[in-house]
Amino acid sequence: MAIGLFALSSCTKEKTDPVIPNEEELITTFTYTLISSDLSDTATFVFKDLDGPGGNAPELTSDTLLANTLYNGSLTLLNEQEVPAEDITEEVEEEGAEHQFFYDTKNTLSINILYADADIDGNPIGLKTTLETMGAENGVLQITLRHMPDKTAPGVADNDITNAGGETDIEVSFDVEIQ
Amino acid sequence: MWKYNKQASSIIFVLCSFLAIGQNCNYKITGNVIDATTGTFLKDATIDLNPVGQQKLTDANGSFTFTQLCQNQYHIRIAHMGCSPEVLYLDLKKDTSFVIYLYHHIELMNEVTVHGERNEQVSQTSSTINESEIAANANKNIAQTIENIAGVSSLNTGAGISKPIIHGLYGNRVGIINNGIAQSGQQWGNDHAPEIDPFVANHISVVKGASALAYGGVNLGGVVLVEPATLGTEPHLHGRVNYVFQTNGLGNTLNVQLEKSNSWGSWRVLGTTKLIGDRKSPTYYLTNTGNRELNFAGQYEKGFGHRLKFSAYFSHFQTQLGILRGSHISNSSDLILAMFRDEPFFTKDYFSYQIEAPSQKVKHQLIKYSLTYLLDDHQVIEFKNGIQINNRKEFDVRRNSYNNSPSLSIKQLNNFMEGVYTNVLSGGGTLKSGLQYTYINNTNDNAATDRLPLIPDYQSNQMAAYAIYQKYISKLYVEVGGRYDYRYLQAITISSTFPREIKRENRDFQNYGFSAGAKYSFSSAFIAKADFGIVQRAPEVNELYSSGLHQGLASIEYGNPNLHAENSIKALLTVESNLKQKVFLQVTGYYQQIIDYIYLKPTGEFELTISGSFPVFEYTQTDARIYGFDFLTSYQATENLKFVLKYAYLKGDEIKVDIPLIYMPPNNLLLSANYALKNWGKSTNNSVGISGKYVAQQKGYLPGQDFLAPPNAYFLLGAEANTSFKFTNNMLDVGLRAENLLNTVYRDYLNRMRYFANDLGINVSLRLTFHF
Repeated sequence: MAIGLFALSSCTKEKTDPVIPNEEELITTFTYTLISSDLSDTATFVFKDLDGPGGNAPELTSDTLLANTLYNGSLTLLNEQEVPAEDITEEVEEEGAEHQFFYDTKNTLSINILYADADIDGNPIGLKTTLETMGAENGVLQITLRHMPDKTAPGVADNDITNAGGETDIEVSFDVEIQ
Repeated sequence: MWKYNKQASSIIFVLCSFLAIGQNCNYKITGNVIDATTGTFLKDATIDLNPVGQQKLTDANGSFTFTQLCQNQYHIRIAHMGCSPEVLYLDLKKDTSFVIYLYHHIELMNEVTVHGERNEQVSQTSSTINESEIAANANKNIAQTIENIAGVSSLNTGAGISKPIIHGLYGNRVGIINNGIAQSGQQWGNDHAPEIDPFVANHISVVKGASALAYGGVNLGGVVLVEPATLGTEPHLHGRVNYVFQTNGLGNTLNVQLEKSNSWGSWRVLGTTKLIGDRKSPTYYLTNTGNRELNFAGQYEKGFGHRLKFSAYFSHFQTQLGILRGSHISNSSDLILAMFRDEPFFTKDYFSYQIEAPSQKVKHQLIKYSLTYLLDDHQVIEFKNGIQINNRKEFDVRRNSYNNSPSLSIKQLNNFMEGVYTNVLSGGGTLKSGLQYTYINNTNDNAATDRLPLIPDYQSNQMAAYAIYQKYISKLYVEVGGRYDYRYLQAITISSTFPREIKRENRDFQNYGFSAGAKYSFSSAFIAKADFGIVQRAPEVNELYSSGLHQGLASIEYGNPNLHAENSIKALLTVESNLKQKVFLQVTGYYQQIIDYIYLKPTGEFELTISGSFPVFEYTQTDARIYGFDFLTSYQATENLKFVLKYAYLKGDEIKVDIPLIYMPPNNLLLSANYALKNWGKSTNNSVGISGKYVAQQKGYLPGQDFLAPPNAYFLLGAEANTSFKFTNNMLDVGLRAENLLNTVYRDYLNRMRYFANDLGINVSLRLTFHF
């Protein structure tokens, strides 16, 4: 009975504020930077969702590419809730064997994207790429990060997501204009 | 089971009345054995009297007599074919006579529960599972133990996680009352199973009506009562050891129970441990579907004089549950890929006991004590206090540095207090009235998860009062009751916008409940029962304030802080007939209408996140109705051969728009035949049986209501054989059971893993129960 009465007296108290989680794992900002091989043109595609899922809608920034040009592409992943922003790119690179990015134009563009990096097993990660444009056209580019994909499954090393499996950590889609 | 006087006042202290009269060897023990269901005398029940080693059979009047007995302590064991035997202890000091009620139709699970101390349920439509049935299902969880009751099913997440469904309702709407205390944890989650070891129960009853008024809003969909045995006065140490091995999952379940009584009081302790590995579908392993359990419980009772009784109870439940690795998806594209695979992603070609993410770790503790005081022959007061601590952690597949951090971690404290006053009125009726107070404190461990919680921290204070009146008027039994609840809920939410802001949301709810029931015995062979209830249920915290990504379903869920209580009206009518001990028939028809039924509705919108777009669901209210019937019949074809048939039909829809409710149990049929064999040497209770289960396809579905259409109908074949070896003071039960004997490939509508994988293949289990 004493325990019960003790609990009875304690329950009239206001509940304390919850701890606001430190969402270290969150990726708020995804940037795909393309620099032409002669360094004359730069394009950036940005997906930014500072508050994570829910809350305010994310901001998407697209860019224009030049026709018949070879670009070097690189991805950066940031958590901008942290001050200064936490760079998650390094973490993905370190765990490269468990991650792979896939680039899919959904047959809307005739561009060529090739992997330009490798994990410790020699399989692509996709943080670094080369992108070669053909003629002028408009389309979409979807970039997907899979966690724990089967990197040895058919087609996976050649940027085909079909047999990759794993979980999707990132899936963003940009409008691409090629002039 | 002892059946005491029906009046509450004389229930508890009945065992204190033996008086010493002299010393000789001319005493008599006489008695009658009665079928508890039908009220008829049982012929050929065996009565063993130890230590003298005499055995008698009851005559046509169910009676037996032992004579020329000395003053001594005796163990009397009463058994009848198809019944679970009863053992009682008697300190013989004078000629003694008693009546034993055996649950003869126990395997039908049909009888009305009239337990020693629980006299409020006589008119309710309920069904019970007894101790031997619990032991026979020892390797299953509590919801699977009761799912063979017509009208009861289970909502599963793979083979290890199950929630009971009663007449189509589950979760926040079904109360699970463990040892008189409403089980409290994170009931809102479809993949959150009740944290109870079925072995703590002597029997488990399902009350299908809404009239279990002592239990508040959770009774809207029915109540599962988990009740331990009352402790006897047996002065010798007795107990049981149960062990089950199952081939599917190479599972081991071990349970030990001990009990004893002396001048310090009566006690029972038990412990259970389970180790089950990856289950197997007919063609592939279900990788990461093992589970582990470690449970223990203790029960203590002591009487002080003839008026005061103290009882205490403690239980600890701890489990680790693996969830199919291939079911872990992150967004809608993953879901579509996973659903149309021949074999789930991450399927390994070998067996393992290993459990990795996604998984759950859950601990639940209950401490309960109660004091019962007999004021006089007509009045009893009782005080009860139950404290529960529930600790749930769920693990998702996360990037390496977070892999050991839970994605969800919630701790809940529940403190329940109740005072009950029972009064036998001068006109013969009984009035039971109670006051209850419940405090809940629910806290997320955001520092451990590093994620925004799906449901907010909250604190709730609830007060309730109820009264139930019961009376027998010749062949008619009536019961009426009313209940009032007041709940004050304080939730503390964190904004989904950045920077994060904390907001306090307070709501209060007043709910009323009313029930009436009647039972009329036209004859010993024909009984009719009617049950009517009006219940209100306040919205729960998840329905009001949940916010965020629900990983398992690739959806974003939003609570609705403006929800109000849902109002349910449910009526049940049951008729039971028993024709010459040959044919037993029970039909329960029911109709339930829920005004402002709360459910998660797809809004048709998609929300864009960095991991893709997700469909948005919001809690909303509509008017719903659920109706159907449960049919049960048995036919004792010969002395040895018995057939049982059960059928459940259910339909649920939204009233105004005529859209089916989803996740309603499909219609199902169970057939079984059991053949009792002769005793052979030391082996008794020999039987073999075969059973078939047919589950129809759920036709109540419109395209687009769910990610996948309901799976096809399926049929499963099962078989079992049982025997008991009797030794001088001990007994060993051996049972062999096979489930899905034909290794049929199937998917079940109520299993959330059906989106990703086939259900279980063949499973053979061997059970040993040693009584000492």
